[in-house]
Amino acid sequence: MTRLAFLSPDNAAPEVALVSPLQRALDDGVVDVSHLGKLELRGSHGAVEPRSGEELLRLSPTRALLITEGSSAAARERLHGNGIRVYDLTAALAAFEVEGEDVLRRLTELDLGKLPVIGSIARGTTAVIERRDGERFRIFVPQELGHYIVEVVLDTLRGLGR
Amino acid sequence: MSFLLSCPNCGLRDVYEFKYQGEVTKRPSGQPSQRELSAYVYFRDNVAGIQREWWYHRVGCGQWFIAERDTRTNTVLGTEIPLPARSPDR
Amino acid sequence: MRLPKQPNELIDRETVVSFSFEGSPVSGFRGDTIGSALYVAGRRVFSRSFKYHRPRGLLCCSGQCPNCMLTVDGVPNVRVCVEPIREGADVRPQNVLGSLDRDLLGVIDRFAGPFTPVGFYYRTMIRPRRAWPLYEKFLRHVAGLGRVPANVESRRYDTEHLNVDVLVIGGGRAGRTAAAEAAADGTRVLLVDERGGTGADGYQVLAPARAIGIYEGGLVPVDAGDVLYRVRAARIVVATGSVEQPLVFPGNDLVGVMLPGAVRRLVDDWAIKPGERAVVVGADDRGLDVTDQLQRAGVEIAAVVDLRSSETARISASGSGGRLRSVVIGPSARKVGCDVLVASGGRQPAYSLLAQAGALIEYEPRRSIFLPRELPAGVETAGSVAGTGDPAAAPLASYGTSEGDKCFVCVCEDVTEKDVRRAVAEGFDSIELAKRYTTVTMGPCQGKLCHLGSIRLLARETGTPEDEIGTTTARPPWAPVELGLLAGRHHEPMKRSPLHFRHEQAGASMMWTGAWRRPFAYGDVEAEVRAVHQRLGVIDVSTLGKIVVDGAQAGELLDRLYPNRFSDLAAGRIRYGVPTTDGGRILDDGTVARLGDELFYVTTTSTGSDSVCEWFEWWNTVWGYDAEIVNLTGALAAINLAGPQARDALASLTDVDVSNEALKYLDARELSVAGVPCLALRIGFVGELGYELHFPASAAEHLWDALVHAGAVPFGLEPQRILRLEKAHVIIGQDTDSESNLLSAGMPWILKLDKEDFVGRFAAELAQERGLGERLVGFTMPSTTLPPEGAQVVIDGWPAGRVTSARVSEQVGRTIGLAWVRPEFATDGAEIEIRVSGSLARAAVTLTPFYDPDGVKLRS
Repeated sequence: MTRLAFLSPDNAAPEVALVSPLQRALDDGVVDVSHLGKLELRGSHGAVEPRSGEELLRLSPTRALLITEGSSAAARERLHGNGIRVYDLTAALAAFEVEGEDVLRRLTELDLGKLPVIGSIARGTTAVIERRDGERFRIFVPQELGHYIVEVVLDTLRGLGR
Repeated sequence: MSFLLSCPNCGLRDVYEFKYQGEVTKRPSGQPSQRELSAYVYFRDNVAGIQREWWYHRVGCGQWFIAERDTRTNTVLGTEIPLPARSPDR
Repeated sequence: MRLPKQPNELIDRETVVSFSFEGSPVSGFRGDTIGSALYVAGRRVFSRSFKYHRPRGLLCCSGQCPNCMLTVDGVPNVRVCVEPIREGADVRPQNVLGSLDRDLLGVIDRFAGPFTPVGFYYRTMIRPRRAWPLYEKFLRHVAGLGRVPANVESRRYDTEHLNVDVLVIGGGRAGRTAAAEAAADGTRVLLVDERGGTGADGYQVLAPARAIGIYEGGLVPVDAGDVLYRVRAARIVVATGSVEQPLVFPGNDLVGVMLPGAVRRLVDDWAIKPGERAVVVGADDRGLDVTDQLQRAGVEIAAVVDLRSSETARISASGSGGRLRSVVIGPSARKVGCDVLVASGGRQPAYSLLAQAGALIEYEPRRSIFLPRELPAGVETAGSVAGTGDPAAAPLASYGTSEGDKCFVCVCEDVTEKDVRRAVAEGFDSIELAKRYTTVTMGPCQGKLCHLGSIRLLARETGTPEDEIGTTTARPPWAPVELGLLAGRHHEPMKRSPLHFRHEQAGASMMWTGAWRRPFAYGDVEAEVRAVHQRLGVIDVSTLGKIVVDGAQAGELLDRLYPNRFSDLAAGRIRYGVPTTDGGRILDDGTVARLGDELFYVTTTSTGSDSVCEWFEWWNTVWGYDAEIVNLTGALAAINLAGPQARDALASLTDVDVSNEALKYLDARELSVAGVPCLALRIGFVGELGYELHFPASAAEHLWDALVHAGAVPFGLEPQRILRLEKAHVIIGQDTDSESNLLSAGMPWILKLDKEDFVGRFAAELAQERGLGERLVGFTMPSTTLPPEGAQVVIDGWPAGRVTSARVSEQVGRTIGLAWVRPEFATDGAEIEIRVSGSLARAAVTLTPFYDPDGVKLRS
């Protein structure tokens, strides 16, 4: 078997119904994108470039997050080696999108002019925040806190009259 | 507390994104006596002045680094990722 | 009386707004405040003072003094002089027994004076001690401010973060000029002002919004009513202006005594005639120019005294029923009839925010005011807060004599000149002591109107120059703020396992373990225990920490982090690991499985997942071994499948050979179960044949369902606790504490002292020499007795240890538990006693597991 095969949900048989950690928290205003492939790259990733359908968020000189629209299997294969180690965090992180800088200002102190960024939202949950276009934001959080964070986001929307 | 600390990777962030792990200490080498071990485990200099100390960017990039902070004013003079060594300060 | 249209009035005479006061209707215009509407309707008494219940009227009209505080729609302590008028508002007085005009507690002012000098509560109402609840109840009825309503609906408060380049605090002329200048080159500028305000070109305005403090790192919280803005600014410009200071003289709190700003606002903003006949006493142009407004309003000006030129040593106001009637003033001491007395002693810069930020505050003798100096980096001033206002005459500390009516230094707290004199006489002669003893400056105005006055009085009483007295420390909040605003929204982080909803659906009672929610049990603890012993159970252990250590030096790193040795662990095998600190203390426990030459899979306790990972990363930052440390706790769900039928159930869901030969006790194997890729660890925390499966979190519900379908009975934390206790398995943090070491906890085999170095080596070597002070052992007693956690172990009548865990075990037929005892009692069969419900119960020590001591079931 390939190393750490038990980490990747896309190694599950087709009949396995995968469940999003946000499934039961969602409501209008928040779009679930937890299905996205997510790979943590460790090592000097300077030479790594994202391909079509991929996005690379460089978090430190030796850590990066690669997002893939479909399965991350091909990217795992391609990138592991040459001083880079790859870990499949697809199931580890929940992800969602929400519209409005006003919402983000109530969720985080991080400077929205300096995205993408890894830092604190909702007073202490680690999140990766990126801007899609205009005022649409995509946020990644640990899956075990995904439901809770979506509750906070929905409450924030209510406070803004949305 | 609301001072800003500069993570070597992420830049200035609110101090609550970080975990404080205390003064940089010197780990004994060889076989310390009970007294030397207790001093290393329990005693600290606790200076009123510039202190070298460990911080961890817990709600962030996960980097461990050392900061120099004036404990009287919470002014952080600088932060750095220490070079690894086999038996260094800790 | 409402005046004809004034050039810059704020009122909209076309729009009438009505509200009620003490149940009766009152109306005003939009643009009025509740206070101005009440005033023009004829109200002069707005409140009763804190201690003496003296009638008080409008004094500052700018939200600083306490005189106009009323309860509006149930919300107490609203300063109605600045509170915008609101249709239908229900306005009521506070701290009165009866009505504002007939407060029965006014007797306190008449008679109780001699019984309530400064600090009286340090000498009275102390004995008998039993009576304190009565005293307290009495006090709460006769003194205080507003009442917090018990049944009012909780307001919603939100918090918002703003990052700006420049924050200007104060929207007066100086503030707006500073903001416009800063915004000229495109920097992000925010201006906040306490009064309502309009937007402006180039910079953002938040108003009404009040900055309540300056904290480290350029953090300024701004109170905007139901939103708290946490503003971070690289540059903070404080343009908070200066505050008119009252004079101290007998009768200075009578209704009708006002500050110049109040007259200006009444006439210019709301077109209201302040009274019929006025006397003006001032120490600077701003204090005296108010004659313009008075004249325009048709008020007769009976006298004007300029303290800069006149040698006035005495001012004394008198009235009846608390309302001003006349003033004795000037060197000639003539009595002048009046109903308005505009008295001010110059302006004191509002420096509090600067002081909070770290500026030095010094008394400037030539100007006789406090000025901010030595501003810290990132903080600037604009306007009169820096002391650029007109010079004023230095007023006397007091214009009274020792007889006569009370001279108030602090109207918020009803502190008189006599109180300050007494405090000094009693020895409270420094500003910090005098403040705490008299409570001067500790009221709603927070010293804005009385701090300077108190310094002058103290200087006179102690014979010390003002510039040697110093100031009291300025602390946030600058003005009173609702606690709800500081609390914001209440969100409690909850970590949910990927199987959380399956537990809820199965009717589990959930409990907190740190920030995780976990099932305590699914309804019948004993039945769940029996299911594991007799058939098959399944428990969700997804909360366990899971760390991958991956690299050429992964084995070396683990050897150095643990007392154990792992570099010689064969691939596909598991070892129990207990990391310790350099003090020799047990940090956590878990398993280490080797998945490859350079790949190790480490598990930790649920509450230790983050801290152990951080611990590993910290040491490796220091040592720099070639190894990645990756926290996969959330990536993987984990379940423990345990019971005699475990192998059969597993075999039915996988093609891989899981016979006892192919997958032995302490083997680790990757395999697909019910179509889900898993890592199977054959370990046995609960004492029966079992497999711990680790797999992607998003596949958890599928695999759980398959196992339940195959006959596994879900069991929760409580049955798990009983099962592990039957095997005498230690739970770190439950049976050990921060002082426990490996030897005393009974795990000597873990220590591999022949390694060159590991964290905890020094302490382990010294402990071996020193010997043990206590030992963790098992014990049994009849199942009719169950000692609570922490129950005392007693030997020969002396305390000799404590119980850490105890349960009644149906399987064993006795009460079983773990306890710390003195080492000489750590032998099989030793008799100890345990204190339970006040009496001593006998117990027997066991050093072997209570159930299946040879581990036959585990290895089957």
